[in-house]
Amino acid sequence: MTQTKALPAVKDVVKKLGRCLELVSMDPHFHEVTVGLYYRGNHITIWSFSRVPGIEGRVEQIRDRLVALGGLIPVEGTHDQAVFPSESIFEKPLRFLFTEAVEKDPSNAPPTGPITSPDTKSRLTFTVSGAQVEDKYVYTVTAEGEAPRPQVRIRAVVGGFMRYGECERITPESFVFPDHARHDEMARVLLPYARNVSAVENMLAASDLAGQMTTQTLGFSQT
Amino acid sequence: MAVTQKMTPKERVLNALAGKPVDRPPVSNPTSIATVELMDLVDAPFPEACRDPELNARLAVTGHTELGFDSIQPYFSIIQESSALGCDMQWEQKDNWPTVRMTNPIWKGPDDVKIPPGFLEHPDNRAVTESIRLIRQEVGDDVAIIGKTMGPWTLAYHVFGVEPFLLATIDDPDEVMRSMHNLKEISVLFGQAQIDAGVDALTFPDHATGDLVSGEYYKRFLLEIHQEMVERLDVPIILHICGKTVDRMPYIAQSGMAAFHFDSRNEPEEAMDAVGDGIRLVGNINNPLTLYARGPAEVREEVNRALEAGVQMIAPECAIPLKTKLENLLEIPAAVEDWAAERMPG
Repeated sequence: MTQTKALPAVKDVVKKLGRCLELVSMDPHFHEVTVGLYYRGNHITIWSFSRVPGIEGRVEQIRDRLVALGGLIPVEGTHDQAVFPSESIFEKPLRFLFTEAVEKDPSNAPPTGPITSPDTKSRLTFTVSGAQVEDKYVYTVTAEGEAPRPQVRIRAVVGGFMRYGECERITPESFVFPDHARHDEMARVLLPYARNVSAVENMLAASDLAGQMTTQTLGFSQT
Repeated sequence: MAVTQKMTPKERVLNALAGKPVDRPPVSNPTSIATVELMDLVDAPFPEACRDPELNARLAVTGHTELGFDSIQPYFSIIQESSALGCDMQWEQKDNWPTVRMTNPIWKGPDDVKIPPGFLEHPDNRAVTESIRLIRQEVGDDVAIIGKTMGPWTLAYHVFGVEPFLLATIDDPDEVMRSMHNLKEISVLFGQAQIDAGVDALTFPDHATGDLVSGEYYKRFLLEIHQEMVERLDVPIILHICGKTVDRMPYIAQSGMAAFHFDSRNEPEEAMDAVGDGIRLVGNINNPLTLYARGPAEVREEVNRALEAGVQMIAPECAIPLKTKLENLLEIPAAVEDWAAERMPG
């Protein structure tokens, strides 16, 4: 039964890697291992306690997906580390990005071209485009298609960026990231979440409830 | 009386349960502290780790060897006996808890309660009892092993279904009492099997929760049975009831049990006031908001608050979420050590 002795002590791993930002409990593309995103400052490490053969390759693949999908910078000479392209991480967007990097099919090429997404509540298609305005890189949301009062939907999308991207609103149609810098890849990751806050909230609530033992999940409550 | 010598984890736990002096408050786990990362560490994922003694032991022991808790809990869930009784099970997967499909109950009333032949030999019961033996071989006699046996109220939810059972408490309380007395024999049987396998204490979950029933229900249906359990199971017993329970704590304090494992929906100060000197308290670090969603600083704050209130054993309030971050669990013993160094200088 002495299984743990040859493995790194949990305490030492946590001390070395820093804070855990997010865990994906079952990697659908690699033996259902648990993968975590740990960070110290803006330096991030992808980690799994699993020692299934091939785990290092999978961790490297996830790190590379973070680079391709989110614009992170790989740390040379490592398979599991990257730097977030700002002085400190943006926690909420990085959590979405990490989950996508683990859960989405790794054979899919990262999207390129204009940052667009269809609205889930109308026939509009949103586009996010950015431009340097004095000392800020400002992203503006526009919409094409037939829908009554598209400005209401655009304002809602900007609200979604504020909620999930930690962004600041500049006008009803525009926003900046917390460091006022350019983060096109992050904007692309966030747009599908920003366009439908209520559905994302339901998804997050369901995700949080999984694995919790409460009177509710046990069926020992009225709700 | 100050304790100047460093105790073993087992001495610490057993002394705290007995109300005797300790070198520092123990960090305990009357319920589970298994996480998905620990499952990976020792290659013992759910649900297999709930059903295989070797995997069970491997995962359970990490709570002590890796996280520094003073006790080991090999029974992660609340469904082992119910599976052995024949309940309809949903075993789930690595990141979720196995459950009983209570909408498909197996029994209707007290006369149906029969302990199946070979109950203790059922693989889902042996997963726990054999694991206890393996753990004892592995860690020796210095670490407390806490077993777990479900009380009759919890078993009743599983075998009768929650709604039919609760309706019966209104329609036919005498029949419900007969059910309780029949079901309690299962609690004793499985509890005694774990004592024989080597546990030092037993958790006794009996979910007469504040969400569903009043404190008077506890007194009416369970208090005497719990007092009887203390007589029949010869190890310290830790009663566990989830939810807001402060209204029934004065009754729980009369149960004779060694400790009550309480939920964060009860403030530690009000809980201490409610039980007085009648019973020790174990708990009550919040799971969904603190251990799952916040960080070590908030964990430390809650640990300190519980200790300042006089809670005798520090523990998560219930089985922790399976995705709990390890840094938060490591912070519990670290915070207790720091508090004791400052407040209990040897």
